[in-house]
Amino acid sequence: MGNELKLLLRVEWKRLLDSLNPGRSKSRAGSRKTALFSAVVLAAAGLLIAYAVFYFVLIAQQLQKADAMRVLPELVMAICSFMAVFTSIYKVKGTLFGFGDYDFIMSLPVKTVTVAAAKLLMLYFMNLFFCVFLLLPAGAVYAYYESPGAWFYAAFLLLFPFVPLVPVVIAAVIGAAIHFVSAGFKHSNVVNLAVTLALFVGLMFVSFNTGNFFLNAAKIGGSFTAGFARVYPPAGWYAKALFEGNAVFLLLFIGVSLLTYLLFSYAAASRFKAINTRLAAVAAKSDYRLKELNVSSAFAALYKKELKRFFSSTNYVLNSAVGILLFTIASIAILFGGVDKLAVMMQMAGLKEMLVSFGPVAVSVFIALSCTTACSVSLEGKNLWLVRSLPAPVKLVFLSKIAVNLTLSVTASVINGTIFIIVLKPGLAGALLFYAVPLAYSVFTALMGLAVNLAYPNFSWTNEITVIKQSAAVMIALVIGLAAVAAPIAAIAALKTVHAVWVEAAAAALLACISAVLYRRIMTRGVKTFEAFE
Amino acid sequence: MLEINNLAKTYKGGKKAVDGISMKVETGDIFGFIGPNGAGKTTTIKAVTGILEFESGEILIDGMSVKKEPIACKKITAYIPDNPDIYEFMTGIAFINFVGDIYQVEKGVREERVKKYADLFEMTANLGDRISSYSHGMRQKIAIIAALIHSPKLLVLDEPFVGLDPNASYILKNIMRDMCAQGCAIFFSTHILEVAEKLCNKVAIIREGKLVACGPLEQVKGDESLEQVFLELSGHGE
Repeated sequence: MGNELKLLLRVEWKRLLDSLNPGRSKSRAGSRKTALFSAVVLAAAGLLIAYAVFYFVLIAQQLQKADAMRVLPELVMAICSFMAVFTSIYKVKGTLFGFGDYDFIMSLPVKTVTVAAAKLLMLYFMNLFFCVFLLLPAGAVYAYYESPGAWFYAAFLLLFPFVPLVPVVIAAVIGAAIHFVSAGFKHSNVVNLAVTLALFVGLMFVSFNTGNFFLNAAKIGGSFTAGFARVYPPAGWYAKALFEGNAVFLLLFIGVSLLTYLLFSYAAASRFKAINTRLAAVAAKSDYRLKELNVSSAFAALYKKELKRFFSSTNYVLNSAVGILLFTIASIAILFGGVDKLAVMMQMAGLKEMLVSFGPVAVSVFIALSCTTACSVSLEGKNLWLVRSLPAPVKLVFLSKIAVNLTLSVTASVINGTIFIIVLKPGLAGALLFYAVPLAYSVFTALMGLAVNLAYPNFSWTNEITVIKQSAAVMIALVIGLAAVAAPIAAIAALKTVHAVWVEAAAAALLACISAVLYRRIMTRGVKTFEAFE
Repeated sequence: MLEINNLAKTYKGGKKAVDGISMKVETGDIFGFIGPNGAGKTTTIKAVTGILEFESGEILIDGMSVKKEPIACKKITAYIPDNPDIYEFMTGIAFINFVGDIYQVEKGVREERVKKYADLFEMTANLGDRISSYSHGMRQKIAIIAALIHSPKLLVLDEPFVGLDPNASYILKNIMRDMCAQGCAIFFSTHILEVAEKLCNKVAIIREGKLVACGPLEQVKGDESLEQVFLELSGHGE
């Protein structure tokens, strides 16, 4: 099993790295793209760790006063576990089950349990990300403030790689159950999307309450784990192993994590073919009768095609519309609960004042997170020949992709912006900015995403999740989008003498100018780039 | 209808896939494009249909340059690839209607053609199902129906009979003959030499990116069978 597992993992790694590597060709341009992307990734990783350390130092200072420093690693371990569940559920289809090369892999003389173990390990490796960027900095900050003994270091590093193992198995069980049940419905995608969205909102609610719980626990100096461990016992073992020097709990945590992984691998293997067969099956009624056909313009046809593509994939919707969903949840929260209640929920005193001055830019972070265009070109994949051979101008194809992004982000901006204006009553200038700024970000995000995907395309995927979630284009677009939001916030904070309204208006105007330039480039150089794709 | 002059295409890495080929497909021709795997057939076809850019040479469709007037050329051309990778997230009828919208086929004509071809290929009952539920052959049939929806002047097919059942193959051959009789031109690649021999009035044989024979079928094969000529020209003859 060992050698076969290694070979399967090597293939999975190669595929993951290939999807991340923007410069696949050995040409000079390809090497330049790879080098540039590597630099961006390294810079982003550095910034992420620096931000995590900065944030944990702020928390540590408060926790030290309350003599509750151990809450820090406990909390971050809980966050990592939670994130692993949260982000793995919708990766299950495509990674563990229903993956693109299922037929080929299953035809190889490899045991099913080995295939299941390799796929589960890939899910696990993807989740080590959170541990590296969150748990390691948290451990370092804790060690700096508390100067613990050698046991802490040894136990922390020993436990560290096992933290996401059980959460990944939990996510795999939930994800498989959702897909298995929804596969029985005629409109399985709709059911799948509805259930996953409901789960997403539910987890959001839990995460808010968990945040509250942590802060309350920190205030009273109690153990955060006591509460979390009631729901998730390994968290209690983790805390006992780490802070009480208990080797039994250390072994228990590692042992249970490994055992859960192995048991799930064997359990999944026994039902592997049945689950995959059910997921691969598409309902077909074969009872169609010819009826009147709806005729549309070429643009409307392309736009409808893009919308269908978007809503046909739970992964695409969840990954690209997460910001819009969060934006809507925030709007509903302040509409029905008021800003004060949201401030209490988020433990942010002065939230109303912050929203009035930073609001238009702050809510734009949701728009920056909602970029459907960053993978829309890559998603053409093996269908690329179709748009290339049809008599539709490339500009029209681009416009249809941009229009889908704008349909989502502009609708969310207008509706949620109106709610924010009603609740916050920011005055005329503020109200105008609550529309203008998110709208400027909507246009910019859609155009920027498309431009980035044209520069970093990947058409050779077998699993759509590799371009929707793990591709260079999506990551670069996300970094640029977040940087575009962070810049005016930093400017508002730095330019204390200038009223925030002016900075926000300037940001909207600047984004409009950049968008105009981007549009021009996409419709000239972008078109040529698209025509040259092979 | 289709004129290829000195077409050359080199892929990244320096591989010369097509090296200065020229040929002419006239109205009414069923032109067979034959060659071993990797000879350059699909590259040529993709260049003709505007999918692939090429660095030198010229391709004219109905007198219009594929490079200079790509949309006008595509409007009178239909392409059916060897692998029918069509939008799996659509139903069969939605896909055909999508293609009809792009070609701006009139509603009545569109409905009439859908009925005609879907009935011919026995696909009518399946049109409401998602393409992801279709077999390879069913996808191929949908790709063919969609290609015929705008009544193209030039039909380009890459290995069209692979994956089709004998009945569908027979129907497609008849459609190809009918279309040519009505003034259309057909350019297709195939490995099935018997089909080329029975169906085509002209053939071209390509080997390592170069044309080794081109012209009317009888002239190319002389007194031999097309298979013997092909084997000799592709370096496998006795």
